[in-house]
Amino acid sequence: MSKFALEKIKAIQGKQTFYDLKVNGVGQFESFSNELEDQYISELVTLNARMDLVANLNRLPKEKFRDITPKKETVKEYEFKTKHLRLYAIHIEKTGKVIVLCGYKNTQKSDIPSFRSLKSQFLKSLNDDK
Amino acid sequence: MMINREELIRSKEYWLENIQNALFVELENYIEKNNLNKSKFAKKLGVSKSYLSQVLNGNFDHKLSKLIELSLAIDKIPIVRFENIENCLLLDEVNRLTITEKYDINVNIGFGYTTKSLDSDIEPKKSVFDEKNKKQFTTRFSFAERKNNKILA
Repeated sequence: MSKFALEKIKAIQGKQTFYDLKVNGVGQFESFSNELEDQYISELVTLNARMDLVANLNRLPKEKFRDITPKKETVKEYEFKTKHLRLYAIHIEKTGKVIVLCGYKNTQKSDIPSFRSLKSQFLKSLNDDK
Repeated sequence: MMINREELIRSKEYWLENIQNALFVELENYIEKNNLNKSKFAKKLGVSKSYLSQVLNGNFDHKLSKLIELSLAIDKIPIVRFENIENCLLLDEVNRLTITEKYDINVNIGFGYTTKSLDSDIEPKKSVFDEKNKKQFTTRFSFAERKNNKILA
């Protein structure tokens, strides 16, 4: 079973805290950022700027940030978008937003099920710890 | 490449997103407040519906004159202020401190002004600000003091 931990994303500062989900010691957002090709760096900075706006409780156009929570799901799911990149996040009450998975637009079909699977495993690990 | 806070604040993407979003929020508020639909609003602005959608999607990166036109059309004026980037980074850092920490360093920033704290004898924390920043604080503080004295006089 995977080990989960949360690490604050220090570049994002606001009323809401953003965390990177670490799976077996590897930060999802950190590893994605570090392995990203140079041509997407500008989009990565834009995603950081959008997270910062959300952290400061700003309303964003749905083309940039949207709620993708399925019906009857209690833990909210969100997607940050740029032209080619996607970040998938959840909101944990009294904690903040957690970046669970990062990916590309052209892999979103397979990324979203992976994101939901990781989300379930992470939430289960939180319940197991209680 | 994982970016840090300073790199984010120094990036063009950060400011573009902030300005685009400020415009988006103002336009959305105007539409809601005046009960307009997008076709009517586009007509009022004198732009096409597709152009308006582009702006409302947060993709405004056009002419400065268009920004002014759009602002005036919703009874607003865009105010441009140029801030020294070092001051901006400093303010960003101060805004992250707790109220107690702000008092500890003799400042209380939150509404765009700097005022003297209740306990004026406390020296700025060296662990938080380096000498360069401390100097900037002193300068800002002196300005606030001069301003306060002027008001009191």
